Order: sequence, then C-alpha cells, then structure tokens
Amino acid sequence: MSARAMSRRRALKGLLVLGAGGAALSACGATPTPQVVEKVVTSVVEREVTKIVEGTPQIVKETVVITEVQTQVVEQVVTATPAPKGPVNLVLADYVYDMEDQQKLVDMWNADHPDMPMEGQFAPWDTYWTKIQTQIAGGQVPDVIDMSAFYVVVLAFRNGLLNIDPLIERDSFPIGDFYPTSVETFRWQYGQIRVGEGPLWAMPESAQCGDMFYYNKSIFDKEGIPYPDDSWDWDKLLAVAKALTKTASDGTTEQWGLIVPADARMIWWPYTWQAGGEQFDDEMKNSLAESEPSVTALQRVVDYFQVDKVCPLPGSMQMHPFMSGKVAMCYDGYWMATMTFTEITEFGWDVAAPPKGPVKRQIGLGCDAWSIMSGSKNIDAAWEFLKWASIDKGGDFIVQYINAGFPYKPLARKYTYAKDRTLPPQSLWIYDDLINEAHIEYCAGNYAEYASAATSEVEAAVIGKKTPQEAARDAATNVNSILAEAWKKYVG
Amino acid sequence: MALSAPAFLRGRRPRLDMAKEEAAEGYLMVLPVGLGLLIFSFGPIFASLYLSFTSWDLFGPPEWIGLLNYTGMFRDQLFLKSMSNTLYYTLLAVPFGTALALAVAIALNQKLRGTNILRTVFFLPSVCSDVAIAVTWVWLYMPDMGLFDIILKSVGLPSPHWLSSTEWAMPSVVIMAIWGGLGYNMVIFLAGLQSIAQEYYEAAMIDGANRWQSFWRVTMPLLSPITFFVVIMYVIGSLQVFASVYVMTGGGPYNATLTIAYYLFRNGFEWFKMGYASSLAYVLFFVILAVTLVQFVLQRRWVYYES
Repeated sequence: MSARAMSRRRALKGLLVLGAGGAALSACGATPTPQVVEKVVTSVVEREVTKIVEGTPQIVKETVVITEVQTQVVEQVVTATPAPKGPVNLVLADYVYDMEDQQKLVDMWNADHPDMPMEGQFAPWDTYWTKIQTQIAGGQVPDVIDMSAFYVVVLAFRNGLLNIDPLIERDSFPIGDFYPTSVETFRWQYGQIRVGEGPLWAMPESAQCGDMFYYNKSIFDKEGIPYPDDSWDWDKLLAVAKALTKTASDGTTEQWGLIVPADARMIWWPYTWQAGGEQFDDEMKNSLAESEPSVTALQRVVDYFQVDKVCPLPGSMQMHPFMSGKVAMCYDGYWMATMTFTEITEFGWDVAAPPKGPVKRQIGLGCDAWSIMSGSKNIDAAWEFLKWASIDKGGDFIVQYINAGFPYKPLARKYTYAKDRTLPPQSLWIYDDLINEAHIEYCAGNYAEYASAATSEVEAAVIGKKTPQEAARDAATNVNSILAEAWKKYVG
Repeated sequence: MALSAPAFLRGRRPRLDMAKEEAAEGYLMVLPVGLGLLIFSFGPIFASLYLSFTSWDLFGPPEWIGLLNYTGMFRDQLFLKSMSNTLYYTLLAVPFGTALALAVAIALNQKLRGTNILRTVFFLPSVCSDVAIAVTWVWLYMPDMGLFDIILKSVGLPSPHWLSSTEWAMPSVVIMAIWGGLGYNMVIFLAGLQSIAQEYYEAAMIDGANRWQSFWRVTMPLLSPITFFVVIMYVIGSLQVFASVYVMTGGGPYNATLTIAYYLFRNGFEWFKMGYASSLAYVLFFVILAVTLVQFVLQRRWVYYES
C-alpha cells in the first residue's frame, strides 16, 4: 500500500466523519420542551341500557354526550432567542406587497417608542412561510408574526402562539369593536381541528372578502344597462352577463360578461352558502361537497363556462382580464380593489353587493392577524405593538396606506367604508354590513391541502373534464381523506 | 548513488515523507470547499434521508414512521399523476429538444456571413432567468390576446387554449422549455461538430458518399459522445422541472402539469409535510439515478469513442 493511498484512505475516513457530523448539525433544530396541555373532548356515544317501560324491563338504546378533559403532551415550539439586555428589541415578521409602506409603519413605531425599537423582516407571501418555518426550526423566531387564517391551527397546536385573551381582559381591549368573523377566525381550541371557538391566538389585522363583486361602469354605461344593485340574484347576473358577452363573426369573444375564479374558496364555497348549504359539517369531520346546495352551487359555476359561455376558461394570465377593459363583471378578492385594480385608468369601475343566491346573500371573510410567538421574551412590548397597530396610530396608518380591509370597525368605517369615498371603488361601504355578517372561512388543520384538493375538482368541472356531480363526489372523497389525517394529527 | 538524510536528521524518523506531505497539502487546500460541501450539501442530504422516514411539519420534532411515506406514495394518486406527467414532459422535451439543437448547430456550422450573430441570438435565452422566460411565455400563450392566438386566428385556425387545456398545457410548457434550452445545447453540439476532422468527410466524399450518408455515417457516430452528454443532461434536467410549472400553470389545469418536483414543493412548503416531501425527493433521486445508469449501459451500443 503506497503512502499516497494510505493518506487518501485516512482522508476519506475523516471526510466521512465530518459528513456524519454535518448531518448531525443539520438535523438539529429547535429543541422542543414538552408541555402538558388540557383539551376538552366531546364524544357522542350510543349505548344500550335497561329501562323499565310500562312496568317491563326493556333494553333500549340511548344517546349520551360525554365530555371529558384529556391531557395531552405537546412538543412546544421553543424559541432560542436569548433575553435582551437593555432596551427591548422587537422583531416583526410580515408578508407584504409594498415593503415601503410596511417600513414606514415600523419607522412610525420606532419614533413613538424609542425604548422598544422594532426591526421589520419582510418577505413576499410566496416565500414568507418558508422563512417562518426555517426560523422556527432554527430557534430564531420573531416576537410578532403576521399570521394567516390558513395556518393558525398549525402553529397554535404546537403552542407556538400566545393566547392573547388574558391580555385583552387585563387591558379592557375593545375586541367587541372588531368584525365578529375576523375574531372567530383566530379562535381555536384543542380537541377540534377547525377555528371558531376557544382562545384567541392572534389579533385580527385584516378582514378581506374573497368573493367581492366588481363591475366595469364604462361597459354598463355604453350598453345602457343599470349598474348592479342589491336586487340582483344569480338569474339576473346571468342575464346581464349574457347580454354583455360580445362575440365577433369569426367566433372570437371580444368582450366577456363575467370572470369567475375556478377556485373552491373564492366561488364554490360562497355559492354553496348562498344556496343555503355548507361544505363541511359542524366539526369538520366530513365534507358535504355532495350535498344538494353544494352541487347546485358548482353546477351554476360550471354553467357560466360550459353552457352559458359568459366566462373565459381559466388560464394563467399575466394581466387580470378585468383590467383589459373587456370584461363587464368579475368576482375576485377584496385585495384587488386596493392593489391591482387601482392601476386602472382607462375605464370606470366599482363594486356591488354580490348577487344573491337561491337562499341568501353571503360572503366569506379571509383574515390576517398579528400573533405574538409564545417564546417571545418581549411579550409586553409585543402586546403594546398589537394594540398600537389595531386601534391606535398604527391602525390609522395601516387602514389608509397598507390594508384598507381593516377589522376594527371604527377605523374601517372612518376610511374604508366611508360613503364619501372619492377614489374607486366608491361603493365599498356596501361591504360594511356584508362583512359584519360574513361566513367564517373553513380554516382548520391541513387547510391548504384540502382547499387545493377541492379547487382541483372545480377546475376539472369548469374545463369540462368532469360533470359537477362527479367533481363534487371526488372532492368529497379527497377532502374526507385529508380531514381524517387532520383529525388524527390534531386530535388523535 | 542513493541520497541519504542530512547528518542532523540521521537517527531521527521524519514526520512525513515527500509523497505524504504533498498529499496532505493537497487535501488541506481543498478542505475549505470540502467542509462546505460536507456541512451544507452532504449534511442536508443525509438529514433529508432521515426525514424521509419521519412525519415532520417543521413546527415540532420529527416523528419516526418508518417506511410509511414510501409505501403510502404508491396509493397517492397525485404522486402517480406527477410521475407520469414528469415522464411525459421528459419524453417530449428530450428527443425534440436534442434534435432541434442538433439541426440548428448543423445549420450554424456553415461558414456563412452572419452565423456568429445568429449563434449569439440563439444562445441568448440560455443566459436569461427561467422565471423571466416563463413569465414572458405566459403572455404569448394568453387566451385570445396572446401572440400565438393572434397568429392562429389570422390563418383561420382555432386556439388550443394552451395553458387552459389539459391536453395542451404540458406541450405548451415543453415548447417553452425547448426554446429556452436550445442555445445551450446548440453550442455544445457546435463544439462537437467543429472537432470532427475534415479528413473524414473528404474520405467519405472520395468513397462516393452523399450528404445524407456523410451525416449519418460520419457526423453522427463521431458526434455520439456529445449527443450522449446532451441527452443525459437533458433527461436529468427534465426530470427535475419546476420553475416553469410553478410560474406558468401552478401544476394545473387539473394537475395536468403537476410534476414530481412541484408536487414535492407543495408537500414541503405549502402543506408542511416535510417528511413526505423528503421521501418524494429520494424517489426522484433514485429514478434519475436509474435512468442515468441505464443510459450508461446502453451507450456501449451507440456511442463511438475515437480513442
């Protein structure tokens, strides 16, 4: 064996040892601290009991509701942030569309609170959650994070978020002045997978409708058709959409009557509520996608594309079709009103109440919020920020410049839903009442996965690959499978 | 006369002889890069292997579940769909992309005025970002208003609905990918073509070979090592396609363009199923490894090395 070969062999052995060491380092993440938490579990049991009926012992079945408190050991997400010495240094993580305005908010806070300086860590939505996950895994968690309703259960389950109810009570914070649904969206308790009840894990920061109804005023003016109003229902919408869909002699559609997103959350689920139904049972153990209101809703949506042909097929478009000026009406998220559509200058546009379904008119509410991470060493300072950014000077700035879909009613009504708005959409005040009565989102554990599964089926139906009945059936099957996983993970 | 150690070293054992000392110096030189490779490449690779046997949402410790991720994969309809989509993409992109790159390289191998400019033009997409290219092509594919639909309409042809159609969405992505990768492969083929000695063509001409026979009997065999390289790299790149799908279609419509890399991304970063995503990554790794090994075995039949 040559000396060179001997050296190489030893070097290879050394590299392997280093590789193993590297693997060990890479596999190290946040050190969990187990914590015992209590959860209330309610179960319905049918049992046979012997009862005296008309003097004769008989075995009868009775339904009993059993409520018990179970203890569960949860691996707590622990932050490794050391306690700061001297002035408090807050770290805020936020997903943003306009970093400049977000930085102004941080600068305003720092000017008002020199003893609690804040550092803002901003990222676009697409990369924000990857960053937060990495920070949590690495034990470097911000004090306050921008929380989405989609993920609140995931983080609250791991005890990663602070329950702010005690702070609200301590400071008599006016949580009752927030749109109710925006607060319910961030309530969750152990023993269930869906939001709606339990401790409050985040302070609502936005209350945005995912199915806002927009219309092109210039097209309506040109055709001499009155603008949409709250008398409109699905039939009226379809009739006007047909009247406003213009086709050239070569078969090309020059103007579309309606744009509908092929998305479960943004159209199928709201249409289901409007048809008097739900997409899930109360506990979210089962999908109700095959129920009559749900299939009715999906059929209506599919007909826009396949039968009535008032909607273009969904496809990736760099420019939202509504902005081209060739679409008369569209459903889209609230955020388009305050971001993308503000660039429209070639035609007039506004919003109207969404047309009423067979049973009622109702919108869904998507919300964001600020959460204090449970491992934060600056809880009081973080709470001061939450108050400041909700009902105080920070909230005033946010509602005007960052997020007009604000959940705190006094500020929202002062700016966003003011009846004397000069900038479009001038009729935004219509949504004040609608948001007050909005349906809560079906946010639960594994939300992103089952929302995606349901949306795939909407796509399949809209492009004609499946009938609405087939799509609803497959949606129910796939969603139920994901819900079962979620129940196993979050309840056991 | 043999050299002997200097007087002051006689009787003392030298720490290293020359060969060992040189080897040690060499390894020391590569140590910084090696350490970086070990800690930031091999470390995560071994870590993800471990994670592939766990259930982990990043917010708590990984939970060991053994082979459940791997066995569950074959009952996962979306995984099967993504694998078939990825293979479909590869089967479309590789032969057409390779053939087109070769054809362009042969055309630009002529000594004509302007070929240098054309070579530059064809190569330009290769230096552009994949995301920028994908964004641009979404505009081209835009229904009714995109350039392709306008051209089709002008000649009286109907629009295939490109990215809105389950039949045409994947071919649309492939067309864009072929266009984007054309320049890079063209340059490689050009280098190969220019390394073929002219004597072979002269000899073929003397033997009475026509142009096609020269191409098939001289060019193709001598170019086969280059072709082998291009095909291997194209296949590996195609099996990992992600950026174009992410930007152009998001895996739709109705999962028609859902590739294994994009499905892996969704599981890991949208659905917080890091364990399952890791197992998908390893399956992809083994598929790529298997395909590459098969190609290396088959090369004996068609790749001709002059040496």
